[in-house]
Amino acid sequence: MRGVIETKQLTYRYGRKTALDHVNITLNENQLIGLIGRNGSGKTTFLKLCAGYYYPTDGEITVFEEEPFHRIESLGEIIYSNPNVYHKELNTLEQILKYFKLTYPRFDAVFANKLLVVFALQPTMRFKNLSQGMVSVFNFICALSTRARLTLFDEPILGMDVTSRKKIYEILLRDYIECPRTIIVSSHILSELEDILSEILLIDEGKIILYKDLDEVRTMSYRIDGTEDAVKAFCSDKTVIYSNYNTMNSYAVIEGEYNDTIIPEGEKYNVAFSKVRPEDYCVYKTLRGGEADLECLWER
Amino acid sequence: MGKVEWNNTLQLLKIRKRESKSFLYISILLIVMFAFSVVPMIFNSFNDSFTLNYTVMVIYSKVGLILSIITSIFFTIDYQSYNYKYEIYPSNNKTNFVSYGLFCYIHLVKVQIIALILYVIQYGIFNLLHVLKENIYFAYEFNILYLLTGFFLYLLYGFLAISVIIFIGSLNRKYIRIPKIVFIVFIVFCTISFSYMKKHINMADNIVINFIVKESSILIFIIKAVSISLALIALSILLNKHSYNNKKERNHGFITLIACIGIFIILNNYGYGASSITTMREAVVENYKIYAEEVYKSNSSEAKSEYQIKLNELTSGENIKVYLAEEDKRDFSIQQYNFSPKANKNIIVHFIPNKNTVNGIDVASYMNPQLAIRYIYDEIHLKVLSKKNVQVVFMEPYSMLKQFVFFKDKGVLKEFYGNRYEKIPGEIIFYVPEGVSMKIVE
Amino acid sequence: MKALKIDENSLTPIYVQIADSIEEDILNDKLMEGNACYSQLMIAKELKVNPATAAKGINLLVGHEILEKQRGQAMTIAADAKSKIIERKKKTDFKDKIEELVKLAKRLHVSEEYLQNQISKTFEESER
Repeated sequence: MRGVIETKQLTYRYGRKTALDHVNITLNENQLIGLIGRNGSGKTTFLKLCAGYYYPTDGEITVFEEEPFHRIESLGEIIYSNPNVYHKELNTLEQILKYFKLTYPRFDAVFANKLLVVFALQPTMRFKNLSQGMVSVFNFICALSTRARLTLFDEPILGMDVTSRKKIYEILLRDYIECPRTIIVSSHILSELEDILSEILLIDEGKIILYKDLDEVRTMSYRIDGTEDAVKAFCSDKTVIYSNYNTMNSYAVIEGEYNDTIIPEGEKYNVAFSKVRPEDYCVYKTLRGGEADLECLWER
Repeated sequence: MGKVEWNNTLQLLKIRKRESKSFLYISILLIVMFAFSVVPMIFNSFNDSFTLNYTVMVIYSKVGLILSIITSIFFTIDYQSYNYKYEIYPSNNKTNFVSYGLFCYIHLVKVQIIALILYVIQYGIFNLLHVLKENIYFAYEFNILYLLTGFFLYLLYGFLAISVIIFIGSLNRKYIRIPKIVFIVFIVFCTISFSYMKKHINMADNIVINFIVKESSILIFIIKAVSISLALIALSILLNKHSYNNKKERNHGFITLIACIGIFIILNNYGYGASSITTMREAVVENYKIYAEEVYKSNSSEAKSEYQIKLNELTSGENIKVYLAEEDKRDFSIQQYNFSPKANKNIIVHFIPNKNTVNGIDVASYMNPQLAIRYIYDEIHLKVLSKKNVQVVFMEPYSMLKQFVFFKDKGVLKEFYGNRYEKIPGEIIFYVPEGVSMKIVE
Repeated sequence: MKALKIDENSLTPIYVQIADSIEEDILNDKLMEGNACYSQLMIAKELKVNPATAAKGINLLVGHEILEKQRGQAMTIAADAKSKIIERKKKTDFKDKIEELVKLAKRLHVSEEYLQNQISKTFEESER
């Protein structure tokens, strides 16, 4: 598969902070990619660099084989959207959709209007009358309807209630199936997205930790529960990503694949196996030292 | 710039135009409001208490030019924050910049077109008023060549100014990272200093400004303006190409707007509003009779106001007393009486009306002053008859074009090159035959 | 296949669950041998999973020779799919279940004889 986004030693600094640190990555085309990372890990910076909002301090990035900051052919094929896109307050939603139709060649106005109906938004409403949740929904609708070949959603679900969120995910997946394109969704809440993503891009402190198929990530680790001694014994020759020892129950997360060869060992030490959700795996991989133990908060 | 980029530029331009409609509307509103400053004058025309009232109206195109320049300044200061706000729509560095530049120029053209249309409409209105009410006059004649040339040259002035502004903006974004408030304060300071300098120092010695403003040949002026504009634009594009910080979050829109309004107010204190000077009679309206048979009136052509008074029963040696009404002396500035001997049988009275030149046009001539003379025995009573309550409206379509030799003496503006204000008092010359002596009675 | 609920908490990957459920439908005669199978897009739409996941499930069955890719058409069920499934399940699921049962019996101290009796009884009861 051709890479839609390719970076070489991509670095972005502002002030004294390094948001992205020599990132080398090639992203595959026509995937639904989840960009996962903690606050301040560089997600937004990465997406904005892909969209041509920033120019790299160092290194290079190509999107559709062009530098995004100076792109020509892919004008109208890349869109970056977050819940707080600026629109003039007095404009009606209809007018804003007209602007999109003007500038994005693949924009589907009929689809957008139908989506407005689904979320109970009227085209004649003025932008200033929308609540935060509705604003997020509206910005999502606009970005999705552009059918841009590279669509970037930066935490699109801000402020949305549960019903809206569920609808959003369903619509996102369905539209991705109907009109395949590269979609990157950055979010904190991976659990809700897990079923619909095809790949995960994990970023932390400006560096890419992993970029894998979601199914692969599911099999990259497993969890064992048991008594403290049992767990410790089982883990003696394994790579432990995270462990938690308590009186009543201890568990550890082990890097490795859960397969048939492990089962007898588990029986030997009397530990129970369970799956590690990709979201938890990402959390464990991005833990910093000293965070795991909250006990000290209540110590006197 | 390829087709894709050009299309994108046009799209961005369309969005910019629609989102900034308020600037156009406010400009139109302001210009139209200035147009209404003439309404008091129209009301005055129903009043008989004036002899002469002239109103110099604001020059719409000048106001339009200043408003367009201020708009460009605003959008130059706001460039980064505007880009940040509208980054959702596809653009790249180049298309952002070009659409911004095009917007500034197109805004200028639109405002100038409106100013021109408003001028034509007001010209029509005044001439209609003149038909309905004879005492309202419009001081300039309508000349299409002048209007078109003026329009075009004014646009060039505007293009030049906007190119300078765009260039300064690009320079600022590339090299200097000063906070915007400093930039605004700097502009305000320059404007104030400029007005101070104009009052106290003769700006005629400034080489840089004179390069453009004192250029008297239209062709060379066009070459200068166009080449400088193009050079500045090219430099700006180059600077912009290598600027990577074209989107900033901080929004100084409000401060910028206040600063621009401030600049507008300061510049307006040059007297861009309507001004009028009147010579007003005291409220008493005199009702006098004209002695029909003995009145000699001349025609209104100023050079030939001569009257002949037959001296039938006058014998030599007699003193003739000449009376002239006080109001007339004042209203028509008659200060000189010359008595010249001439070998004539009759007394010849030569009346030279006063001149009050505003912007090179003699306003006093609109009053059409005529001398009425009554001769009884040894008294000559002089009276100046004139149109009452003359209202003259000055509305120059394009100022600053006096710099061009092309318009000199073409009779377009009825003005002399460099001759704006002049007051010459009126004069009456008596050619007195031998043996007769005349004396003015005060 | 509409009856399948994806168990997110299970250790089995989703694509395997999809493959299993298709096999179930073949065994239940919901899907007949020689006919077309559910398409990748349909699975993705109805189960609300990524099409790549659905494709993986289908490819798994292609690997087991249960589904065949006919030229120009959707995946079709192989002619001997049913028997292949049964064979495979005998070797894996069935065997696993028996091992589990025996382990449980041992833990509960149940004799082999008792176990076999219980099995016979259960067979009889299900016939009725």
